[in-house]
Amino acid sequence: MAVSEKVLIKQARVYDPSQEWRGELRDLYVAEGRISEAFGDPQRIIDAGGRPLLSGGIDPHCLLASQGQALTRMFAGSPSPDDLGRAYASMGYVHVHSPFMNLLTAGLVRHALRRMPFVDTSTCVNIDLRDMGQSIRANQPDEFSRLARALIRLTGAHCLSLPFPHLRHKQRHYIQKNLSAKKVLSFLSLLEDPEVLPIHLWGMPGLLDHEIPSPDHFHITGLGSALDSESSLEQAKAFLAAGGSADLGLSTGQEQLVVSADNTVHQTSFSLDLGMQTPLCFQYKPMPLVSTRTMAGWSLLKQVPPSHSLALGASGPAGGQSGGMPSILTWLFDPDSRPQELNEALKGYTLDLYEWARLTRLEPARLIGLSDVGHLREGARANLALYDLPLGADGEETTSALRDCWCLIKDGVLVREGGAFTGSEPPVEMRCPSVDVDVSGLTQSDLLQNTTLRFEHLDVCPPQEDQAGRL
Amino acid sequence: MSIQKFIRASMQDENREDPPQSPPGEAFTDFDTEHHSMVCAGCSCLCDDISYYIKDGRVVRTLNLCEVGWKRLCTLSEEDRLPPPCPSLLSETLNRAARLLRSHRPVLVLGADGLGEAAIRASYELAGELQGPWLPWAFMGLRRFYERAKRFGWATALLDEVRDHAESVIFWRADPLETHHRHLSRYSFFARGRFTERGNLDRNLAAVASEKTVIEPLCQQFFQLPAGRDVALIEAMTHFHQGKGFDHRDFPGFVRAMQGSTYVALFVDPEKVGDETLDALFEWSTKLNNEGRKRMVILPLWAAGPNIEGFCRVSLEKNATPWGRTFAEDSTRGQPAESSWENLAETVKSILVISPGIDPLHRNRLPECLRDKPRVVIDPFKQTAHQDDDVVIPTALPGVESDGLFFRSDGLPFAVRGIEAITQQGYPTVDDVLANIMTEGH
Repeated sequence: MAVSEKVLIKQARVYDPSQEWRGELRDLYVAEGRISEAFGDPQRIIDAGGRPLLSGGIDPHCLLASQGQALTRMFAGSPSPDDLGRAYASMGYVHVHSPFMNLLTAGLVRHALRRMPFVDTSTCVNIDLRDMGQSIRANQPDEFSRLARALIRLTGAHCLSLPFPHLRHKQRHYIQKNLSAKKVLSFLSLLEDPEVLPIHLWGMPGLLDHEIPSPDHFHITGLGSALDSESSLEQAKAFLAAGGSADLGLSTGQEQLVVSADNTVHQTSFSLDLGMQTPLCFQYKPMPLVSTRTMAGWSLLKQVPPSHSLALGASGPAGGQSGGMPSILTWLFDPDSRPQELNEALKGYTLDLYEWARLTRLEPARLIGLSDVGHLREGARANLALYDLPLGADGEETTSALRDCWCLIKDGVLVREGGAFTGSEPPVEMRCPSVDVDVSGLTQSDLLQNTTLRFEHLDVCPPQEDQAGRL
Repeated sequence: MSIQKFIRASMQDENREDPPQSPPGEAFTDFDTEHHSMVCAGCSCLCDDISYYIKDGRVVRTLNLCEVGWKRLCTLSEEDRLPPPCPSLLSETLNRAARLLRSHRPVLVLGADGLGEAAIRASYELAGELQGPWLPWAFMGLRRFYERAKRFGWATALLDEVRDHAESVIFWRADPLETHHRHLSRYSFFARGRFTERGNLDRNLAAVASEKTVIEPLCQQFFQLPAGRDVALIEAMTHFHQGKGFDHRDFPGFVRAMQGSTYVALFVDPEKVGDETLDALFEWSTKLNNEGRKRMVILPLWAAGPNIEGFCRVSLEKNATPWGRTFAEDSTRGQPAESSWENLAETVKSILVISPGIDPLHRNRLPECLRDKPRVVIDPFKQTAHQDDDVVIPTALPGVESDGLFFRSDGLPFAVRGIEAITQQGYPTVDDVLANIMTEGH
C-alpha cells in the first residue's frame, strides 16, 4: 500500500460547490491523506498549470457486485472488479455505491467489494418485507427501526434500500401477509430514526405512481428507470421539490447491464432467486436513446433547479460499457457533440464545471451520507482529480480528458499523474456507519429465522481486515 | 419404503458399524475443548453448525457432522498421513518440485477446487508462471454445463430459496446421499422453509439414476434408466399435455407432481449426463419459466472438490470462464481450456496434482493417459497411487488443519476455520507450498 505524501498542487482552477469555488486559481495542500492548511515543506509539488481540479468523483449507483454478477462476465463479458476499479480511477472517481445486497448475500458482496482496487465502496441492504413486514402490519415504527439498524449492522451496509414497495405473495395461504405500496410507504414516512433514513427506493417503472407521503424520508436510486411516462416526469419533479432525493442513471443508448424483476429466461441471460420477492434477471441489452424512459431522464436534468437533491450517474457498470459517463458529460458540456435524439430534451441546457462538481461530487456524497468526501474543505479526505480539459475543447477532446483524468490523488496517494497510472495503490475501504443497536435476541426474530446460515457466518471478513459490520 | 422406515433402517445400519463418534463408556463431558458453529468443508454444502469436542489433540466427538465430514476427519489419523516434513526436508522437496516443473513446461495445474480461495488464486498465478492449463478435476463437466447455461439462459437459485419454495425436487443422476449427505435435511427435502413449512410433506422428490441409489427409498418417483433414455423422459415431461407419454410406472405420478408444483428445483451432476441431456434440461427449464406459471431452477451438484464454486468465481474473475484456462506461451490472452484428458496429455509435459482427497470415490482419478508424466503431488494423505518418482509434498488438510474461504454450491462464501487443536501438527498449508514453488528456482 502506498503512503500519502505532503503534496502541494499549484495553480489549479478549483471547483468546489461546498465553498462556492467557481474555478478560481488556487493552491491546495495535502497532508496525512487530508486536505490541509498551507505548509512550507511539501514532499511533492504538482503544477496543475490552470487545469480544472475537482474533488474525486462519486458514483451514486453502480451494480458492482451481487450474487450472480460474476457470471455476467462469461455471459456478456462484463468487466472484472479489477477492470472496474481501474476504469473508475481513470475517470477520476474515488467512491462507488452499489445499490443492493441482502442478508444472505451480504458476505459475498462485501467480499467482492473488498477486492475492488482504487475506489472506496458502500452498499445498500435490502429491506425484506417478508421478514420485516410484521412490524409494518402491527404499526410498530420502533421495532422496525430496531430491525433496520440490526440489518445495517449485521451486513455492514451503508443504508437501507427497498426494492419493491409492496409485498405480494403468490401462495394463497399467505395473502393475509401481503402489504400494499400505500401501506408500506405511509408507514416508512412515519419513521424518525436518522440512522435508517433516507430509505433508498429502486427506480422502477410505476414507482412514482404511488403517493410518497414524506419524500424527505426517501431517495430514489436510478430515477431514470422510473420515468416511464410524461406524468412520471412531473411526479419526479414534485418528489424532488418536496425534499426527496435521487440519482439519475442516464443511458447513452449503448448496451448495458440491466437487472430486472423478471421470471423469464433468455439466451445469455441469467435469472436468479436470491431471497427477494421475485427472481432477478441479469441481462445485457441496449437502451435506445429514443425510448421514453431514456429521454425523460435527460429532460429532467434540465428542469430541476440546483437547489434540489439530484445526483448524476450513468446506468451500467463504470458508467456503462462504453465509457458512458465521459460521453454523458461531453454531451452535457457541448451542445454540438450531442446525438440528434437529445437535442430537443436538452435544448438550451449546457452543463458548466461548477455544476459538474455539484452533480458528481457534492450531491452524491450528501445522498449516500459521506461527510468527508465530495468537497475540498480543510480536513476532508484528500481525493482530488485534475483533468486536462482546456477551455473550448471539442467533444472528442472532452471525452478523452474525462475518460483519462490527468492526475488523481486518493487519500493523499498519487494514483495517476500525467494521464497515466503511477503504480501506487491507495488504501480502499468499504464504508459503513457505526450503528448503535442491541442485537441480543435477534436470532429469535424473523430477520434471522429464515436463513440457512448461522448468525455468526453472515460475514466472511477476517477480523484484521475489516471490523465494520461484525458483531 | 416410508421415510420412517428408511430412517429406522439407516439407524440400524449405523448401529451395525462401529460408531466412531461415540466411544463406549466415555462421558459426554470428557473432553478438553469444544468448538461450535464450525464450518465443515467436506463437501460444497458447507454445513456451518458443526461442533467438535477435542481431547488430547484429537476430535473425540462431533455434532451435526455427516458421514462425509466424519470420514474426512478420520483420515487425519497417522496411518493415512505422511509425517510432517522438517523445515530442511520441506525446503529441499519444494526446490525439487520447482525444478521438476520448470524443466517440464507446460505444466498442468490440476485440482485446485478443493482449496480455499487464497490457495486457488495462488494456483492460478503458478499456472500462469508455468505456462500451462489450470483446471479443476471436473473441468469437462463445468465447461459443458456453463456453455449450455450461456446458450439457453439459466434460471438458478440460492439454496435458501430452494428450501423456502421448492415443491418438486429432482435429482438428475446426482445422489446427495453419496456426495452431500445433509443436502436433503438442510436445503432440499426435509428442511422446513418459509413456504414449505411441513418440510418433506410439502415436497415431491424424484430422482433419475442408472442403478439403485441410496436416495431411492425417499423418492416418490424413481426412474432407473439407462443414460440414453434421459432425453425421452425430458421430452415427455415437456410435452405431456400434448399426450406425449413415457413408459414407466412412476411417470404419471411425476406428471401430477409437476403439474401441482409452482416451484421446481432440479439438481444435476453435469459430469454424469451427456450433452443432449443437458440441452434438454435447459430447454425444459426455459420453457417452464417463460410460460410464466412455474419457476424451474437448475443447480449443478458436483461430485467434485468442496470449493468448486470458489474455483469458478476466481476463474470467472480472471478469465471470464468458470472452468479454468490454458496459459499459452507467447500469448497474453488465454486460449480455451483443453477439452479432454487425451488432449491434455498431448499438450503438457508435467503435472502439479492437488489431491482431491483420500475418499475412495476420488482415488486414482488421474486418467491413465496422464500417469506417465512427471508429477508433483500436493497431498494431505499417504496414497498408494503415488509413484516412486513423484515429488510428494504433504500438506495440511484445507478447511480442517488450515483456514480458507470456501463457497457453498450456490455461491455463498464461508470462512472455514481450521480446528485449533489439530492445526499445529507441523504441516505446511497448500497456500504456502504454492507460493514457495512459485518463488523457488528464480
